[in-house]
Amino acid sequence: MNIDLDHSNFAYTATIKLSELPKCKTQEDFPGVADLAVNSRNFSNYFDCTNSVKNYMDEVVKTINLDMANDHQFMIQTEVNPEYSGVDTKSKDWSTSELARLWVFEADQAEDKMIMAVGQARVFMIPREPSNNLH
Amino acid sequence: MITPPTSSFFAIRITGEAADIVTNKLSPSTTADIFEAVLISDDFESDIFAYNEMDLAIGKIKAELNQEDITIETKLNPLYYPATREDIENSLEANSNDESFKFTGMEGNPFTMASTNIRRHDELVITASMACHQFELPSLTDILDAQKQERLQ
Repeated sequence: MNIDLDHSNFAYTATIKLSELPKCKTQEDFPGVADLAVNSRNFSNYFDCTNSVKNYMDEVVKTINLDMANDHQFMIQTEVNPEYSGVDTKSKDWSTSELARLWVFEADQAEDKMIMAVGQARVFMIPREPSNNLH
Repeated sequence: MITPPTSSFFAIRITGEAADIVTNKLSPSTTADIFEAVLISDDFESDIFAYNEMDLAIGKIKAELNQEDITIETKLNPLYYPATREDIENSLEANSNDESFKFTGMEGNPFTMASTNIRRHDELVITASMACHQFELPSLTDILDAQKQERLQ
């Protein structure tokens, strides 16, 4: 299946589990907060949306890695909905409107262990309404 | 006045220029792309602790907002905090069968214990609420009796 680039808007949501990052200095900015989620604006262009979510997650991971010094380092892994890519993913619960997921997890987790994610971003396709005004 | 037997937590929805402050701390280059931020707390044993932590989190963001024309509105749920009988009655509405009441205060959610809204130039930039997890609410008579006891003491 192809992504309908001409008749869709795109948006993403991203969550970081600050409660799983106890030594992270960013926690000081958000006292008592366990989950920090953001929702993006709607994008009319798919590539603007994916660039934005990638930049967001890259900068978040960079911030976390700086905060954590050398104690723990985190990385991003991306999955694309197999319905569009034809490539199987570890995630199995895809809806047609969800295009991709970006996971943040500790870089040196053993392969044979269940991976504990500390962050996730999800990119969605939204049917475009004729009167939808975008930035 | 009820003391909830369950743990408490808070949620803060941040939009407009306040969302820019949050995004800027994590990802400055995407500030213009983020529409809203939502902060969810852990569970706290004490609602007082949950409220104080919520206040602290709001305060950190509010301190970085332009302070011109900011208005703050805080509401406490009369079911959980000292209030008059009138306050409690004003937060209730008789159901159609006239035999029971539903709680309409605090946006209709009886488990929301406190809320704070911050506006700048009339634009709602921070909406925060502190709530407890659901439990079986006592009857209105028991709530009013407890209120009376509080006043007598």
